[in-house]
Amino acid sequence: MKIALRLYATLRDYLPDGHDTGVTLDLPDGATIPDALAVLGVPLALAHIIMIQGRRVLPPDVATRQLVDGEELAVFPAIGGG
Amino acid sequence: MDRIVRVNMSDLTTRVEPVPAAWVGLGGRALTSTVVAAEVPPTCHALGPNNKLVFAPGLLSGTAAANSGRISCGAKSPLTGGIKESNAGGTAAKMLAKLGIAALVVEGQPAADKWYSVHVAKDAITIQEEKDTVGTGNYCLVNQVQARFGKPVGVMSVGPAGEMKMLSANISVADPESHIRSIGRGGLGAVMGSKKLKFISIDDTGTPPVMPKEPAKFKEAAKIFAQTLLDHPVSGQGLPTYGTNVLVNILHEAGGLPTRNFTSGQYAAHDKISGETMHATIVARGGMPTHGCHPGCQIQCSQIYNDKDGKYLTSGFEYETIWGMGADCCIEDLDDIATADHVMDDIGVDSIETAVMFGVAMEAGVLPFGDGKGVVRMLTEEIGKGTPLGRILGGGAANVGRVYGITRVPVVKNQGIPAYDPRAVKGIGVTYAMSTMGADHTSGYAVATNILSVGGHVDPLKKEGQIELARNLNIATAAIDSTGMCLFIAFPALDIPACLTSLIDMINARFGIALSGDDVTALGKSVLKTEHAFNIAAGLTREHDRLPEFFSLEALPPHNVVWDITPEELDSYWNF
Repeated sequence: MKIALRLYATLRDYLPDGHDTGVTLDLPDGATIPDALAVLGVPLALAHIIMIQGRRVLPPDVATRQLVDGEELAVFPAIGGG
Repeated sequence: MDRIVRVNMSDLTTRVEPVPAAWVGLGGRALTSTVVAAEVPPTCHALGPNNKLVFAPGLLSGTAAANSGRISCGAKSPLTGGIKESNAGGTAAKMLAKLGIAALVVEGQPAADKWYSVHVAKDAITIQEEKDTVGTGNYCLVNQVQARFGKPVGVMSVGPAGEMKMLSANISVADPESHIRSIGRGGLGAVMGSKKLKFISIDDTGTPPVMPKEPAKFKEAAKIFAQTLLDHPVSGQGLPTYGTNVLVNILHEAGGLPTRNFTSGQYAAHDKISGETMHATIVARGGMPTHGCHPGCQIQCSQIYNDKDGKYLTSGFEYETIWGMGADCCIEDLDDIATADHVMDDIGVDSIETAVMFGVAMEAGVLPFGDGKGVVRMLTEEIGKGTPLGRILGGGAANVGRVYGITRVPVVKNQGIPAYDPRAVKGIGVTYAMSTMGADHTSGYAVATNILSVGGHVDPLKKEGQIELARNLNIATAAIDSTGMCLFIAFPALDIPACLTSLIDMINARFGIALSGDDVTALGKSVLKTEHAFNIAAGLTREHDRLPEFFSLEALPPHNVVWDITPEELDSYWNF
């Protein structure tokens, strides 16, 4: 399956050359969020805010939530403003 | 800080009084709101002689406490019709505190059509007539005033918009680099203009540092407090690196980035105006990606943004401004937005009110969505010069909506709604509806818990828990606004217990008192109740504590959510 992974702020340092904002990942069925992050070597501890289709995935579900073909995964470090 | 300075613009006299017993222990917003509630008739015309403009440093301003340099300004707002407190960085708070001034109260109104300035120094407070500075923009004015005194005096001023008493007019505060910070919201610049006061200059020469009553205890608490700011990832890393504009992308992803006058929650060109892009642009052009808005700021979320030629263009380039001109007005060019920010600071208009206003004006067909050059031209040639169209635009979003017959007008109590769509970030929607200030994200920043995972998590798309969240944050913020602290200390305060305890320890050591956490909460509640009572007496009923109708009628993509918190639920906010 294919999912879109978008990284923000300091996490963009983990993107491969030629990719400014994110990548499309080809993952096996049943892959989880940690599986997707592992492809780029993003430490899970830095993934402070995780969204799928614009909805938050909270810590209890981060490890177990299985990705679905075509989903968009957005990951942020700890950031704030206002 | 044991003195109240009164400047009477009716008879051009000044008076220095001791702080009355009832006001001892108050600072910042607690003091401005208390003075306004006690001395301003709630039904007075906000631009008439009975309104008062009150400036107050916070309880910790002038001390060595990190991030304690915010200046509060209060009055009856000509925009909302209710009480107003707005605060800013700059050098004024520290200087007033060093001069021992708890509050500077500007009263009355001159009979003659003349302009004046007030100079505050160690041994004298004087009023001068102003001629050459009238009509001058804030950037030039700060340089003129500091050249006049031959030193970097503090300056609080109005630009042409304030002189013309526009409802979007702000008050500028000079920062350590003689650039501009803004007491932005609620049209306080119009109040200052109504008193024919072009600027206040402050010279703290010859004053000693503010010394706490218990120096050793203060030093220890200040050290712990500063460490918590460093330790929290938002105040220690995120804000210093990207500034507040890092929020563009996360609000876009969350579907809560108001776009094209609040018709969508996502902006296709979000990356062009994002904090990440801005950071890279600033670095490439030799600007400063980190910068403090006031002496002693440790978070350093401000920045200096240069133009393509590497010359200074603007600073304090905030998320709400960039969102407003960017997503809400669909202007994709960050340089156009930065130019607009510079002009807004110079003519002296609130960049949130003005950006929201332009979104409404674009919907009305005054200019096309995306027309960045048109916005800059209208700021300069229409609003800045006070043409008939400029007067309409300078009256703010609600005014433009009324004039052009627009129904999608994002305001509460006539004040423009900032940067976070209340349909998709419902906690901040409660703050917008219920704040005593009109729509004001800073009065109870529920975005922290709805979106940023600070202080826990409350689902932004559901209404459960939002009233309680907003209520608690508004109470806490009213207390923080009274200390002179930057609101961004709330990020560590929500997650690291030592932040709040060390803050209270600093206040106790500063004044030799023994406040508890409950006392601080009680202070926040008291401030809100005082402000609410003023608003009710001014004619703002519970029906004013509502969001505009279109939020309930129009579903916001991509989540297709509407505003669904009922009036009865909103009214329960005041159950404390």
